[in-house]
Amino acid sequence: MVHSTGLNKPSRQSKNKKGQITHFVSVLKDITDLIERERLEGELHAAADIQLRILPGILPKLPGIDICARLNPTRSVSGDFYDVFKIGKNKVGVLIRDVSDKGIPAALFAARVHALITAEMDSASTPGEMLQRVNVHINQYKRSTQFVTVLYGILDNKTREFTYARAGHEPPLLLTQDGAFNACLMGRECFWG
Amino acid sequence: MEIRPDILEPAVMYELLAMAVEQTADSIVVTDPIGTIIFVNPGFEVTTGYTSKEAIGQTPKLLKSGHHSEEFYKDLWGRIRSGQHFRGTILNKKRNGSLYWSEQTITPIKE
Repeated sequence: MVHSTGLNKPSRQSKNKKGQITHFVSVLKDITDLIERERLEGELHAAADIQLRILPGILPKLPGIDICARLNPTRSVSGDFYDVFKIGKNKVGVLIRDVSDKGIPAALFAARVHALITAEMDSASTPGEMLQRVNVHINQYKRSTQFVTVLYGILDNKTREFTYARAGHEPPLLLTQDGAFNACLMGRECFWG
Repeated sequence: MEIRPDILEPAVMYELLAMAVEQTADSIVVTDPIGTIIFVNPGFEVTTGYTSKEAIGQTPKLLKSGHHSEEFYKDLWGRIRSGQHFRGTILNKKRNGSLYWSEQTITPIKE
């Protein structure tokens, strides 16, 4: 039974007719785990929000070309990413990137890869050169088993050519006028990291 | 056989209540009107690390973490001493020094 602490069955004599306070009873529920879980969820939402802000808000326009994009990650925070940006007057760069794994570790690795790509994008003369340069950086500092697949291409509206390189990423699909999707397969396969 | 609460013998009811207090995982603390702890349940011992013997005779300051202001505790005591109940989330400190959040209700018992 309950510990012997002097809390006996209340007797009628102890009743205070004036309704004065005789005791205080406190019930405490440990909610540390709940609060910690809510804190982590809050941080995850903040991280997901930051990731969404990195995505292009408005896609560039080229005459005669419709550009649209959609990202549907399996978890709120992930390493999935795309970017479409104008290069000069007639070209757009298209970048699709997918970091292995999901969650915060993938997002952190993705942020690092994003910084490297941004740094190398302007100086590289071709998509292939850009991928090679970033790969050198990643291999230099890599300490985990994480890897990233990338597709980077440049669409030239003047020549109507799409020049791309990919590092382990799925090949782009070409939608032909008859409505068929064809994978553009060429080159060798190698992911970063 | 159906057990109807309204026809339980008072002694059986007290025994049932005592078992509930003893076996709940939540902490239950009873103090006298000036705040001296006169009872804690086993749930309190498990959560805080203080034994019943250690807690009895102390005040709830035993669990004070330093996270909340003096004003906070003053308001809390003012509220319950005026006969109202308090409900809130408090950061407490266990016997081993670790902190834990508790959702807490303090109710004045009037007879």
